[in-house]
Amino acid sequence: MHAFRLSKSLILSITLHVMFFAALFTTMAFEVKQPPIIINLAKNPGNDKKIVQAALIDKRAVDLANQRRVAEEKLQQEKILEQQRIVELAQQEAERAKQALELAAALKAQQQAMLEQVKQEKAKKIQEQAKLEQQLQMKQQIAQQQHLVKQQKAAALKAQHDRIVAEHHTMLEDEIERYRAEFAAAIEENRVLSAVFAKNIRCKLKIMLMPDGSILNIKVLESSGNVAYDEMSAKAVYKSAPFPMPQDQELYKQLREVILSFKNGEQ
Amino acid sequence: MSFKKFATAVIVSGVAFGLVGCTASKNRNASNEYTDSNGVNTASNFYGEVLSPEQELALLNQKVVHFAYDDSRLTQQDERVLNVHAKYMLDHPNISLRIKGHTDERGGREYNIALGERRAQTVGRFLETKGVPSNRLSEVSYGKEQPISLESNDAAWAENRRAELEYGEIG
Amino acid sequence: MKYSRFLLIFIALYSSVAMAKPLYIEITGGQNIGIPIAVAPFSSVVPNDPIERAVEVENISAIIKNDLQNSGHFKTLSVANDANLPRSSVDVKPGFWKNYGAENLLIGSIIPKGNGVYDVSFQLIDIYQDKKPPLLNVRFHNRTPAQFRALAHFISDMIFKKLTGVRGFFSTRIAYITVERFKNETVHTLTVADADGYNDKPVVSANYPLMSPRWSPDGKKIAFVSFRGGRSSINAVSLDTGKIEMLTRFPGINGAPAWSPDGKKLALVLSKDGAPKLYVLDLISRDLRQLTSGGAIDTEPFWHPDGQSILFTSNRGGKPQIYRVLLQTSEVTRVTFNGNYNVTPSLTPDGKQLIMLHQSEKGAYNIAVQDLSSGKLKIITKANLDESPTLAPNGMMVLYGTRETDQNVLGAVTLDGKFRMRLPVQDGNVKEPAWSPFLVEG
Repeated sequence: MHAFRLSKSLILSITLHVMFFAALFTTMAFEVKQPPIIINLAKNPGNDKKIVQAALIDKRAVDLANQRRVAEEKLQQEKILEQQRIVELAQQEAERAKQALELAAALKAQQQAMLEQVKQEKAKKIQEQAKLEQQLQMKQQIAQQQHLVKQQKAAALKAQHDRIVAEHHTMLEDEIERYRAEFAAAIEENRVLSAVFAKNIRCKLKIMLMPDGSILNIKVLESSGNVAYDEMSAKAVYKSAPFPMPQDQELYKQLREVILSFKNGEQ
Repeated sequence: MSFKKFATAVIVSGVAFGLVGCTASKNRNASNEYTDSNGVNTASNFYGEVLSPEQELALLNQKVVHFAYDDSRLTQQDERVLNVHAKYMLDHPNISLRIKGHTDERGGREYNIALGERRAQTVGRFLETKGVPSNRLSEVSYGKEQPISLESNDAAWAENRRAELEYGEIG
Repeated sequence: MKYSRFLLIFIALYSSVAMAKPLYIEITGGQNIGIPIAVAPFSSVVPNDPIERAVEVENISAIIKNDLQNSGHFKTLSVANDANLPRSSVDVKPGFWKNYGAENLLIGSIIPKGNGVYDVSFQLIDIYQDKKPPLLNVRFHNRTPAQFRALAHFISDMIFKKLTGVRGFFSTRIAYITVERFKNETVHTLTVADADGYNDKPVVSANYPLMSPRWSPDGKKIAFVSFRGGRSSINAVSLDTGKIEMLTRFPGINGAPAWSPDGKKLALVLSKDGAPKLYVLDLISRDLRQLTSGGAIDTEPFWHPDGQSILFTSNRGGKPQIYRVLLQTSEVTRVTFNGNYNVTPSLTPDGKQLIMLHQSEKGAYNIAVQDLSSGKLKIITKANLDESPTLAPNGMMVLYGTRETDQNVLGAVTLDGKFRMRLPVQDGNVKEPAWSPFLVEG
């Protein structure tokens, strides 16, 4: 649970840091973006008209005057332009400076802010850490408690389970005993004893029973040494089929494999 | 008394007894009865009792002696009978006797053969003590193979426990 | 939380399946009824053949049925000779036979081949494993009706062996003495018959007693005691030729001949030197060795199957009991301690059980069996005057002499005493049975 929470805050702080550093990087590394220079020609709108009215005068003088005028105008214009330019430049400079200052201030402010933020973050983080730790401790405690409770619950559950199993087992055992007695009775009723065999003769058979009590197979586990005796023992089993079988699957599973030990008992 | 005198007495009495003995045997050869020179019947010397001729014949005709269960001893009556037969054999040297021992039907067959032999032997030994030479006696046991009575009761069994005398001729 | 609970249940379930051990049952009881077998009359293939109609057809299955029933170990069920009689194992309807109480079914047929010979075939079917091939499926070729009886006994042996694992005695023979009393004479006859008492043939006939018949181990001779000439003698008759050889005729008792297991020696009883003693006669060299001594009665020798010792009856202790003498050392030890009268010893082929004639506390003479390892004695006959026990070569049955309505007859009883019957031999007095060894079929 702890790791889970931590990872979330970590991701967040990382992201923020990245963003801020990215911002820093981008704003500091490159040239300040200049606002575009807009020449507002609309300040001298009459220029176009004057040039058009002074058409037919001493051509050469006029031309010269014109030329001079043009040149002077040009010069003036250039001067104006230059002045403008200078002014603009100065303005730009001022702007620039202003901007630079602003930027610097902003930057500083930003940095301050960032620092603050970092500080805050740090503090916050410390707080958070503390909080987290506290929370963690609490969590641990709770978890411990819960664990205890869970253990107890599990123990109680297990005890209950065991009890149920034991009860079930006893019930099962009783049922198995009942079936064992029925199987034995059925086989003994169908089994032919014969004095032909020695008193201490014995054999072991394993039978597999189907759910309906019919015989799946019979196998000789330990022969008596006399095949006829083994066969007679198997015959008693064949004669007794189908055996009574329970409906209950679990009980059936306990009864489906039977080992029979045949002895001559008291003769 | 001197030795000489004693010896003479012994010799004289010995001769006297010998003469008496000769006289006695002479008498036995002459008749069937033991009589001494005085004519007194001395068969009782053999039997130990006095028997009339009829009694003797009756006993002689009895050729079976009986025994108790699991027993081969002779009773006094048996001995009376056998006495007569012994004398008869001594009186008739050309006669041989076969003694057949029997048992009742109870028990193992071959074991009863052995028991029957005991009975035959008892009779035979008795006759021998009465002077009958053993080469004129033969014994055989039939065990339970030749019963007289075929019933299965005490009376039958008592009857079957016996020794039989069978006379034959020698040579 | 849910997971752990599921896990628990799952584990519990799985373990309950994995730990399901097989159910263990001890079976000790059952029914003492004899192995149930239905014996069907052998069918004939040609119903109109007069031979088939003859008794022979019935006889084979009847002889088999008798053999098995009289062994005391089978419960035979009759089968009607009707249209429902199965002809072969494929015709068998298990349900019918199960209801009838049969566990096994014997069917057979007799097929004429012409010229008076027949093929006889039979099948022994296990009703409860009818899917499998028959337990026995045999065909005998070219037999004459004269051979049917022996063949039936042979089939009985095969069935007995198959269903019990023990060799049957149905092809063995018995010898016994008959006594016929006429007005002027008594005739004693040494007779040999099949183990079921049928098919009897006289071997030696005389007007003097004959006793103690004993089969040689090869089944070819019978030793016996004769009283020819008013004395006892031991003789041996060859069954092939009828020739009689005299073996001993000493003064006194010549009795109780007993063949050694290898057939080369004869133990016997002679009293020529005094009391009846055991001797061993070497049949080849004719050497005679005295085995016991003393003044008591020693008689009725019986060889231990290992040939190393002889059991015998003796009253050296006062009353007749059974003793054993070692041939190597002549050392004698007492064997019976129950009661006051134990005679006529014989042993089972495994040497573990002693059969004898025993007088009970009530005074009755009965056949008894003593377990030699435990010393426990069990009386297996119930009349009063039993005698002469003889054991079948497979150790399963005792033949003995007994009295019935003032006649000597033969009885048969299983070694545990549970099944008793009278042997149907001829009328008249029959005594001293002797069971042959297993005979090699020619």
